[in-house]
Amino acid sequence: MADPRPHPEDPIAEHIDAGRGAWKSKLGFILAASGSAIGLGNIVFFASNAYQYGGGAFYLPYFIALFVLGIPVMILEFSMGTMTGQSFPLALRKLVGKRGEYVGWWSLSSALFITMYYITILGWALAMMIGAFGGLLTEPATAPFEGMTTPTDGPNATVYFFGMIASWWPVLAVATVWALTILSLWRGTRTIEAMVRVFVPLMWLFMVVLIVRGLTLPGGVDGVLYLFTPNFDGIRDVNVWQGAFAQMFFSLSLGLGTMTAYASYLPKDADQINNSMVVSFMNCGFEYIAGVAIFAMLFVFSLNPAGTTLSLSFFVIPQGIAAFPFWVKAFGVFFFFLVVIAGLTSAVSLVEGMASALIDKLGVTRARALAYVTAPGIVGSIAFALPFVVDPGLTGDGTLGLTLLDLLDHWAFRYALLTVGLMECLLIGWVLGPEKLRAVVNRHSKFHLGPWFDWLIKLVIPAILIFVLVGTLWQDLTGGLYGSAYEIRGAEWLPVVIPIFWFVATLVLAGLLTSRPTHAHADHNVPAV
Amino acid sequence: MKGLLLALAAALLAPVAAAQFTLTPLPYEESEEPPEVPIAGRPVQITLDEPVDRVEVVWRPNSAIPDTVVLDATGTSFVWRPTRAGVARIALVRGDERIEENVSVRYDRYPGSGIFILIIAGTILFGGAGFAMGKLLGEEAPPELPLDT
Repeated sequence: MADPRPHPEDPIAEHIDAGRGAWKSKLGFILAASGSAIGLGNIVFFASNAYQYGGGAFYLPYFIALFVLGIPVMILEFSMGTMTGQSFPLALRKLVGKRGEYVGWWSLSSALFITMYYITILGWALAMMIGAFGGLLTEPATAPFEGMTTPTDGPNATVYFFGMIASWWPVLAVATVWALTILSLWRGTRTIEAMVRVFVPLMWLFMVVLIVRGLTLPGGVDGVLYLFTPNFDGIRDVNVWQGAFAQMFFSLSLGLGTMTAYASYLPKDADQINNSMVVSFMNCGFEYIAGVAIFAMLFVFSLNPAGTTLSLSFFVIPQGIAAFPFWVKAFGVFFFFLVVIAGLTSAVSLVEGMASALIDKLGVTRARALAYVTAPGIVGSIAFALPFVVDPGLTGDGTLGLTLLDLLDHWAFRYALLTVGLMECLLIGWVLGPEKLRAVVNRHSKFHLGPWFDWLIKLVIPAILIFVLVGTLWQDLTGGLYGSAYEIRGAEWLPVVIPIFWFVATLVLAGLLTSRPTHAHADHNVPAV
Repeated sequence: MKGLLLALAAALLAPVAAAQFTLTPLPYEESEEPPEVPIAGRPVQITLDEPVDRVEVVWRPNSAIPDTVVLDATGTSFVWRPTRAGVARIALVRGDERIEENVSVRYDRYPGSGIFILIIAGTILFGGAGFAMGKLLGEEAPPELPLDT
């Protein structure tokens, strides 16, 4: 069906600049937004947290977090995009002034750092996928670290991983992932939509295949029921609630500017309540089925489901796959391909969030905006893949690249998203007034938000986010400087320098971009309210 | 990333621990065939290579709510009757040395609470997604943004 809307280069097209474009269909937007939300963490996060905090009992804080925090903030971020037709920083500027724009640019500056190492992790996943064709899951492994120099008795994913990151191969994989990302973004919504129409259904299909494999293993059903059987002892622990709220924010990719950017390509009358519900439920539904697949497998092989995204994805799950009775290589390739496409759809949205903001602010072409983002992005991703062994005893992370990644991830990911979420709620809640946003949203939706939404945005969600942030900060202040126990040869100062560098660099970058004059077309757009 | 080291340690230690003791599920009644794997409520024979000071079972290890049970273990062979299903870590303690191995104990009967939450959670998530998607696809599509192309 021919697209009846004005071509993006048509000068009379409402709030569509050259290079911004618009979604061709609602389904395209939904697939893109859900692809953005569903990433690496969704595959293992829920299973790990549910195991740690009491199985099915974890669903209590999880659903509270979804309905009280996740969906409302998603409605907020989507609505900002459609109301203004702008990316995150300029949407905030339109709604609440220059302070909002600064918050938006700070969010995207942090997102740039997060994107750098996110793509590095995807590069590792790509390299592991290629390794699954070879000896990753079938042959002994070695790595240049203490206790790993002699071949293991059988396949060992942990040793294989450390051997891989201590080589230059991941740099090639990282470059490949960046190339795929740029290709997906080259024509904006046209190429993004084409990509997600293939990859997002594939993600679901591959996960279903893993579920079938997990459930048909002897004891797989027991594993799934163990995941869902509640143990309410953990509910009394405040960390459970902090973990659930934080996880919901990270899981739905809020506070990164991506949802606002994607929604800015929709018409103003898009139903953002419905869109938020579809994307949020699909995201959490994917975590549900991923939990089933992963837990079934880990239980059968008595593997511990607790751990970080990295350790579960690259150590524990491959170790489980290596124990499959047949088609070991096929399932290994399947799993890592799933990780790559889940991560790629998220990486594309991260870069698009930044590129669209630069197009809006500076009036540059898409190609130039992509260059502004990908040039430092590629340099950063390669830095996180550097194979130099600085910690041969593996007191920390082993290589320089993984050490840098670990340190930056600890500060950027844990604080940036939640802080941005807090600021956007406070700005919309106390500067613009949530009733104005709610009136616009309700005008275009079959569902209606009541005044309770205003109280959520103004008070409840900020209180929750402050609760989580303070708890996180308290852990950092009382637990010693993160990374200080690592024995990093020649770079013991990294745990101090990295957080300072991230904080200062993002503040400065946000200030520079806020102070630059805004491109005329973006400034003359129809007022949001 | 702290879990990274823990997972690494677990992955590296497991093969060594496997040689220290064996688990042999016993039949519930003499006339029965013994199960192949440990099952909640059914006896399991634990045979050690050497005597130890203490044998511990940690239910839900590496979680926020681990539950440690010290077994009544004497000599190199004794019977353990797991009181619940789930992932457990059996730890042999000999002085300062600690050797651990994970074991999965299956259900004797599938738990109603687990089935209930499995169904309810799935219904909320997929029912919610289906409901919202139905609204999305059921409405009249404006010409500028069709439902699908």
